[in-house]
Amino acid sequence: MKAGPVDASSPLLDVRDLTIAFGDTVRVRDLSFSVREAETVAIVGESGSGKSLTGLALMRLLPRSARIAGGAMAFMGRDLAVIDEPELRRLRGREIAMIFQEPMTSLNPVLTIGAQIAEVVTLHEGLSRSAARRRAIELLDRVRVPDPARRVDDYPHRLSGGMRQRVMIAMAVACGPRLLIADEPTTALDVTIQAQVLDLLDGLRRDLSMGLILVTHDLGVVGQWADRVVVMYAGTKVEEAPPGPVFADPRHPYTAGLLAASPRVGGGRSYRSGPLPEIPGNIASAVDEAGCSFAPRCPHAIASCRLARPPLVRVGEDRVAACPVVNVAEPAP
Amino acid sequence: MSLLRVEDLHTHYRTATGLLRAVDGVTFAVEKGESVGLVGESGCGKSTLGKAILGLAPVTSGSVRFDGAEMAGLSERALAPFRRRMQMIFQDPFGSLNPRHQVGDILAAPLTVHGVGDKAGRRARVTRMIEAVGLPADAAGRYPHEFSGGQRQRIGIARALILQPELVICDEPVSALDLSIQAQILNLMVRLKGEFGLSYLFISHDLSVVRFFADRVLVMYLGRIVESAPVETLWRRPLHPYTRALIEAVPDPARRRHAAPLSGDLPSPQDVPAGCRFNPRCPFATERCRREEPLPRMLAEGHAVACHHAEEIALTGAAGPAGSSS
Amino acid sequence: MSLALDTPASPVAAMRPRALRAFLRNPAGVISLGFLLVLFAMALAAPTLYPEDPLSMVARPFLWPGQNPAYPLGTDSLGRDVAAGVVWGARISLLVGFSAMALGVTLGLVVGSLAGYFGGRVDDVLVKVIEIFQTPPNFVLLVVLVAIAQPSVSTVIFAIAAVTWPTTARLMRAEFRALRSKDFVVAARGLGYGHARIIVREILPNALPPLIVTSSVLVATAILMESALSFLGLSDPNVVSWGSMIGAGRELLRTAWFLSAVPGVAIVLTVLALNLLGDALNDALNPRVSGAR
Repeated sequence: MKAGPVDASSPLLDVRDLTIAFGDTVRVRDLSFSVREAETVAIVGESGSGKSLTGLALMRLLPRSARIAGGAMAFMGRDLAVIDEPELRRLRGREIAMIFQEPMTSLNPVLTIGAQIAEVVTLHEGLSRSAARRRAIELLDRVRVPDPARRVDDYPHRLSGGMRQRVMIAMAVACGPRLLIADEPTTALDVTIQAQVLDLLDGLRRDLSMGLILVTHDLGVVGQWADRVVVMYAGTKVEEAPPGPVFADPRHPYTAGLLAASPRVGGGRSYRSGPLPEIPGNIASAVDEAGCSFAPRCPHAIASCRLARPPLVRVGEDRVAACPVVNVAEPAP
Repeated sequence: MSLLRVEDLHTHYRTATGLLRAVDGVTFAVEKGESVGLVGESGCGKSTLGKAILGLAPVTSGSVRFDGAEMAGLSERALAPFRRRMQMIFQDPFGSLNPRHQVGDILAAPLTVHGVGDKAGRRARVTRMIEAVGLPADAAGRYPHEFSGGQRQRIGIARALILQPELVICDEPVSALDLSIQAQILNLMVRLKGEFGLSYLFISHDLSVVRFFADRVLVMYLGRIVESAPVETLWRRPLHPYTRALIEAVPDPARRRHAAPLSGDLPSPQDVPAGCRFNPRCPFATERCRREEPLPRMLAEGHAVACHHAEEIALTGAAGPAGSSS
Repeated sequence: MSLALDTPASPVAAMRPRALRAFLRNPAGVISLGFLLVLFAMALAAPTLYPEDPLSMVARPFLWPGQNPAYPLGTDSLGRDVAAGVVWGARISLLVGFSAMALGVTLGLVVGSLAGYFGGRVDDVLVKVIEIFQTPPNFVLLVVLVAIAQPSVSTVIFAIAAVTWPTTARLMRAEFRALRSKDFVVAARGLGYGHARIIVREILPNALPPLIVTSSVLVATAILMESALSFLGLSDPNVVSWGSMIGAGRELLRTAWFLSAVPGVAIVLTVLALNLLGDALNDALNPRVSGAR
């Protein structure tokens, strides 16, 4: 990878062949994707897909028992996979930030939200106490917490889930990061609040022209908010494309199965018009699979699927899929 | 006669910070063979309502009649015969099964308690039920932690159905499951409905799931039902502004970067707004809404709504792309 | 645990394979258990090992340990065999320790589970009762109880149980309160199960691990209390116990310190072993710590 300042054409984040392992067990395998400025990339998958691990790896926040076993994560001229602790600390919170699913447990219950936001800006920008407090109020206003001057002195338990997630977002964007990783940011929230929070995140992405990685299991969220979708299954990327084409014409059997099984996308299915198409079995069947990890559940699987991992092939404008059975590979441009 | 008839049901809790009106005057019925969906956001009281019907949450006032017999306010002992006939499926497939018991015991215990059959008969019934919900044949001798989330939910369903109830109250039965597993469980529940002649009260925050599963939908907001209608009517022509917002807030690829339909937070059920409960968040709210609480009105066949301005709002068009698809 | 209900597998059996494996991987726990088993065997074999009364004079007074191979731990000021005292004393310490624990835990379990499960008024009343026993300092209450009744092994057991049961009661109350709102308990109610069945079959097996751990620590506490009482002379004068041996030796601490040290070491090792065993059980019975999920 090359060092030095990034020019506008190169991606903000470029992940190449990222592999994450717990001991000898590989949980994310050879994952590649990139995020450009002001772009929303959704990493979508079910539990066990490795989507959350990927987000944590970017922040180098993997659990102790996990390690980055290979690959590179180029971000603003550095490789996040290898940089040392001091540099990492300088980056985290300032250039790259993360929000989590549980706004209940991500905030310290014994400090006011103002103190927690102020801590971030004092740490990275060395603001004085009163300036940090003013900044905290500004930030609360920016994430549309009503009555921020009063709310700044509230403790987390006084806030609703949606408000807490806004506070987490305020802390994450306090220093104007270039990249924000949102791990299931709305999963714990109600649908009307979810819409508000996604709306807010999207506005911040645009205003700060930051890259946004949306880790989610929700295909509807992906379709509504993402510019590009990375579909993961059992630790591997099975498909990547803009959301429109994915929803209209999925090119991997897993993506297709997931879309068909969802009562949400394509709306309006009722039990009276027949059962939902199921994906049989569960993700545990991918363990020890030498070939395509989806083969044990796949309706299109043929003998060769179980022998070797299918490579990602180009299947159209700006899209790839890892299934040679349902796709006839197009020649690379 | 309706299988289940709930009238003006209230469940209030006294808490350290004041009175919490979890369920605040709910009236509805479930007919035999019907699947009724109950949607609402967290804190709207939908789970408490489900539990109150079964006598698992206190009933402050009001009436719950099952097959014509009043069951509100009965003691645990007096409720026992009702409990053979109405059962519950829980959200959390991990927390709702006793980790210390084998699946066979979990399924046989209800039969023992209610004195159904002899030992051999009970065992046969457990075996049949394990098969009916699609669990592996050796499941009886294993513990819940040996199963995946989806399979545990099958165990929960088997436990609910082993006494052959007539009504099953499902509290977010698929919310904790992955999408590909959700479809399996929803299909299973539809199939079992036919096989066992069940009626469902299906509680969920997920409108899409309710739309698939229900015949009729109740929309709940802060302890009250604000709209009820047959499922397709509700989607085609939602009359309550809250219902419209709920439908519009469902993330949908057809609405790229669509602004949030509602601003503001859910008020706490300890601090219910005066007048219409929805007025602080409602884009159509008027002075009357702040003063006077709207009562449910029947605006069309089977379509009731609690909104002063439902007629005018209906004229402003459908809720959005998702509402208009068919 | 044997519950008089038709269970194919007892609740403890349910957690056996994983917990046992976890326990066996912990050297401190295994060594402690081994030590306690040897101690038990010694206590049981006391009448064979030292057939005569440990309170009778057998040799010259003030034999130091090792001075006479027939009395490896020496003799005290009255010529009594210290080794015989330690072995017979183990009988008393273990008898008092385990009986007081069993009594206290049973009482605490009953009161705590009822208070935690039913809540409301039942809870209010039972918590008051627990508080009454917890208000006076433990040891003062213990001394008063023993002083009022005649000091004997059984009154000491009852008195120790009376001051330790609130610990178990509070623990079980907390466990039952937490567990009673769990979905599987709500499900059991929804299936029409009676209170007794829910308490014994549904909740208790899940509340056992912390109870087992506390029990082992309570045995240690009871042994210490018994020793302290004996030291003060507030125990049965007709039996020898580790505490009374220390008490008898305390005036000779400067000239014959071993008279206090030998039973003292016995107490320290036993209490330490029980505490380590408690730790090991805690780790083994807690699925999150024991690793295997």
